[in-house]
Amino acid sequence: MKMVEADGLEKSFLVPVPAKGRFRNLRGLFVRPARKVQAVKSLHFSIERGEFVGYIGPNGAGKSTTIKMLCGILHPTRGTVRVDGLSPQKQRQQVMRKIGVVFGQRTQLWWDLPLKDSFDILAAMYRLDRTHKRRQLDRLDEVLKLREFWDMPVRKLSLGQRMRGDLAAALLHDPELLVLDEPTIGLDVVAKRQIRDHLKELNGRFGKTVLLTTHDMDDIEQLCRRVMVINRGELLFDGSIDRLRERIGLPTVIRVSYRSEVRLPDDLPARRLPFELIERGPREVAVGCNRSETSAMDVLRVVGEWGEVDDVRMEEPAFEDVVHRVY
Amino acid sequence: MLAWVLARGMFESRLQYSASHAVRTAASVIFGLIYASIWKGIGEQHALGAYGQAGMTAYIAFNQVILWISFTRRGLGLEERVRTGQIALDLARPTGLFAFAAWQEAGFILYNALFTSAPLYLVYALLLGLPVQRDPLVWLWTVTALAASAFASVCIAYLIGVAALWTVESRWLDLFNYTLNFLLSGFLIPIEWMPGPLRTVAEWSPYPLFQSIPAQLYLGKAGPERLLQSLFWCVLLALLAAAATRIVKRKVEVQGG
Amino acid sequence: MNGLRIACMLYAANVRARMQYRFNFLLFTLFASVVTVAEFMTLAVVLHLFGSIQGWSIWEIGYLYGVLMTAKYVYRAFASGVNNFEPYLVNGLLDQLLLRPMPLLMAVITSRTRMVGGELLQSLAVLILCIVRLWRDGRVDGWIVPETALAVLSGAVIMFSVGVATAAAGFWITRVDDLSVFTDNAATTACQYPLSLYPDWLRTFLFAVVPYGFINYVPAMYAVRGAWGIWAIGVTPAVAAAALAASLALWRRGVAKYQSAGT
Repeated sequence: MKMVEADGLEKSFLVPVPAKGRFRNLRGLFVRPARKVQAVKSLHFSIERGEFVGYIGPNGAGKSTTIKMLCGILHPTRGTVRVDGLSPQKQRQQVMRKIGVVFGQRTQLWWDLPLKDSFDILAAMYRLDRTHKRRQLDRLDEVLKLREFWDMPVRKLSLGQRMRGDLAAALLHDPELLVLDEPTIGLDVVAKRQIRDHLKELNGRFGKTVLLTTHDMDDIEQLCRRVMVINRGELLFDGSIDRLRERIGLPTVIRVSYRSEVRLPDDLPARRLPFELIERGPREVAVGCNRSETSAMDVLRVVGEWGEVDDVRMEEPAFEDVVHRVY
Repeated sequence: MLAWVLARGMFESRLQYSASHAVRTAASVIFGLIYASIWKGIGEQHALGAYGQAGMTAYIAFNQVILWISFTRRGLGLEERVRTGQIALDLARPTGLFAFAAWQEAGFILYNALFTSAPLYLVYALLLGLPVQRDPLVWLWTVTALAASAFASVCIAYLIGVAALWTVESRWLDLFNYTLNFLLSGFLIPIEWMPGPLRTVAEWSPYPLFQSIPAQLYLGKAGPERLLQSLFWCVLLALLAAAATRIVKRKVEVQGG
Repeated sequence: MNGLRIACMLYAANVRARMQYRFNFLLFTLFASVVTVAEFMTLAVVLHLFGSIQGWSIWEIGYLYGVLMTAKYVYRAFASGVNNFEPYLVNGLLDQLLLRPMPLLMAVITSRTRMVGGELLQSLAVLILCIVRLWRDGRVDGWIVPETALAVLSGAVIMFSVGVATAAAGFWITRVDDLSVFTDNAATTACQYPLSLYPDWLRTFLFAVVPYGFINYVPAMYAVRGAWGIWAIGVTPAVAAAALAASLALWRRGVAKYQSAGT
């Protein structure tokens, strides 16, 4: 059975439209016009056990709505989603025992109490007996190294420590699916790398299925074998990272520096060149092109006409920019 | 004029909350009816002094009406401004911190007066027979008393806001102030009827300004000489507010906002 | 039962969390007591002045007050999360609570614990004092104790039901803290005095809509005033059960709406 299966998943909201006009405040008391907004438009995807899937898209694309439907917080308007064969809407409590959720912005831990108290409480809520809890915490401690700050109140922990605590809290009841919503947000470089290592281990060693939402493309590059891209409620891409790169092409930036002043022809816009002029300095130009369509030689031939070429440099684009093109 | 802009800004932002305000007005009517019923019930078997049954009903009703005029936001929102550091900007303004906060609150109070007190007045006049006074002098004294009440209320809220910067959170002081107000302002029982020690405490406090004095002036149970008490407290509280501003300035400068 | 154990654990955790801020904790206890004392003092002054209201003596009215307020603080002790529900709706806390493997209502109730020690003590003191006086005056017999206990417990359930219904209304209208002034504060204030004081429509409201009238007035009419028959004692638990069922049904509908519409 697949870990997650979404079929025709759709979610619309009624968003109140602020009234306009002279007596808008008074009218607002009685009539609230609303328009329908489709947050998620008919998603189809499935995730197998043990996969590490990245789920990316700009803000407002529908990522958190999808996750909320997965967790049973929201009911879909149409279509279904199943987690390990169960419906999060009809069997919310059962499904929540199979999912561990971590929100980067909010913590599930008890803010004022020592970290260990949160685990005692969670163990009681999930009805874990003492041996199970002990064993699970030991396993998690190997990866996440929680003992260092076990006794500290959560509000005194650093963001990285808190994130480790949240990961442990999400995994205490040994769920098979781990859903992470921006787990590395706000962390410094070192902490980010640590968390990534932890996640890699959790996926590799413990075989947890991971669904990761993030804006940090390094997370995606280093952790996910598969990426789903969503924008405006639609799934634009679902496949491996390599295929994503292929699909977008290989946008490259070529920087050319000249020995003398650059002389751009006057009719430049009209020429319809196979590249775009990104930057232009007195002795330098930077052009962007898609190398799967245009060869570097073609580009150089054209820019060579603009002056005496001194040096040429090619820049591989950041993954970030690559992905934004899909949006 | 800046003050007008501030007041109007507050006024308009309050217009957003129309639904909850309607509920609040309704709740106010319910409370008024409850208290009036209680006094009516008492009046069946006991003489009600200088007021009589009708007089007590009017007293309760009028107190409900003017309740909202002395209602302010907790600590005038000062605590929040200190937390976000906006206080430094406020202090730098030429208007001065107290004037700034007070004028904002004036908009808030004006909103309450227009949209809560005025409708309540009409409701009570129709429902419970709250007498509509015709003597312009009575209105003059009452409105003056209410202006003093609003001013005093703003001053006290300001002092609470300032005190909260050093001591406990403003919500405790605000709660304490609210409790004293509830007990000592003559809201439910005319101050003259309170047992000795309680009565003394009430009369020496500023709280009669908010309910007892305006209500007595309106119902003709006291003359304008009561306004002297209002004046006294307004002056005293204004002086305290000025002193408080100076303290805030010094603290912000020292702490760096 | 396991659910009970989990709930107790969560309550204990909430209390411990509060106690981390000792100063605030003490202040809250102090000020909460001050407020209740002030409220009570108003009633006391009125009674002190007039001795009786519509034939109800000081001790009888004190009994009304004691039963009502004790029921209120028992309710607050266990389910105060339901009382100030608006923040949950506005701050997205419900989503977090929906992640817990328990019914949402239980998660809401166990998310916050109110300290009621001082207030509960005060209302119990008033209640016990009045019972003792009434007993000494020969107005009541030993049965008053179980009758009062039943009234208080049923009363707590009635208040809880009204609280849940008010909170559930928040799924439609959001601004329920204002609504609860109505269904909680106003109703409580009114029921501190004999309902015979109020106009018909208000009395009907306090029996049919927000049934606080069944908490203290109805039992007292039998147990203390001897005016009504013994059915008056049985009616309160029945109303409590019905109110609970109705409010839970409304809550379920509200949650379903929340999950369809989001915020």
